[in-house]
Amino acid sequence: MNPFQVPALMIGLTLGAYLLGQHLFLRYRKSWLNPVLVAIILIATVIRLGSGVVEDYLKSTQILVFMLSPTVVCLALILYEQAAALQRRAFAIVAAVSCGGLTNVLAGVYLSRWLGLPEPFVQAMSTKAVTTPIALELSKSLGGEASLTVAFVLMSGIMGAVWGLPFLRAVGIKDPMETGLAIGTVSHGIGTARAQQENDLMAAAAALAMALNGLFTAFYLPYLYFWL
Amino acid sequence: MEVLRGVFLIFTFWALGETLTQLARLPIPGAVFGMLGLWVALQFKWVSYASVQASAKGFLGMMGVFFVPPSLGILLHIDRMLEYGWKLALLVVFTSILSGVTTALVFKLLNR
Repeated sequence: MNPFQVPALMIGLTLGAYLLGQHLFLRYRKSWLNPVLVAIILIATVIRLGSGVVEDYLKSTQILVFMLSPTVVCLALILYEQAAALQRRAFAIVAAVSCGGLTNVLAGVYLSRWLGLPEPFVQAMSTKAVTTPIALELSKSLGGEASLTVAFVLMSGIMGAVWGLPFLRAVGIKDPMETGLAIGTVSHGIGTARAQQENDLMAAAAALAMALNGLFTAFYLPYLYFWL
Repeated sequence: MEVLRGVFLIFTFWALGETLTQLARLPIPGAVFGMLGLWVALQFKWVSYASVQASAKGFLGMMGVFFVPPSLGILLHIDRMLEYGWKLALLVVFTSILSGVTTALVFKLLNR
């Protein structure tokens, strides 16, 4: 029997590793003890030690990935709860997220070309801040590599979820609304999951920023990319 | 019963969003439209908050877990990415900082 091909074992391993990460985070409150990061490191270690194949693990845990879509729909609840705070600042939110998102795309494309990265990497840089499903669609229309695109999206997400809050705090950005918008624009769903551990307003701002940045980028990037 | 009704509503909005993107051939996932649709429905009281609360909080509480398996997919590309190791790390960190700070500052500026 290959344990990496048994969904019950791999899903159990994933949930257990995440729970352990969450426990460590709540206990020590260290940013780098982010449950997603802790779970990834633990599972990667188990796969390596058990001479497993990553592809087997991914196939066994497909149902967890499937659950991402209904979870995105559920973010409506957080938006509803914070609607009053968000509506009053609608214009500033839309402007901030579109400026932040565009900065990410332009800086990502031009800087990665300047450093001489190959084209698939440049494309992956341009979609790294949008939520996974939108990035996948965009990668299709840009003719990019799907799994490389996802790798960049998740890198961007994990990094922002782990170091986003301490960094913003260090440069004097402490307001939950500003922090939430920044983290949602840069780190989409993973950042939003992190914001949920802080407070409801930050989580709502992050969820809205994730949705807006995804929507805007999906509309303009397929046209803009060919001009860059 | 209550959880079942909530899950039904959540999947209904996902399905509506999915139908919209398929029909209009939009490059946007149905779940994002499902989220906006459910938000609108909650605001106009077409769907009551109480009917989705229990189920939605259940999904949201597990959100982070659902990102773990796709994140391990990074391992499939690790060799290629290490080829450009420091450049990639630098790029991701720098552009993220630039973008995040821009977002926060534009909001701060307009929200005075």
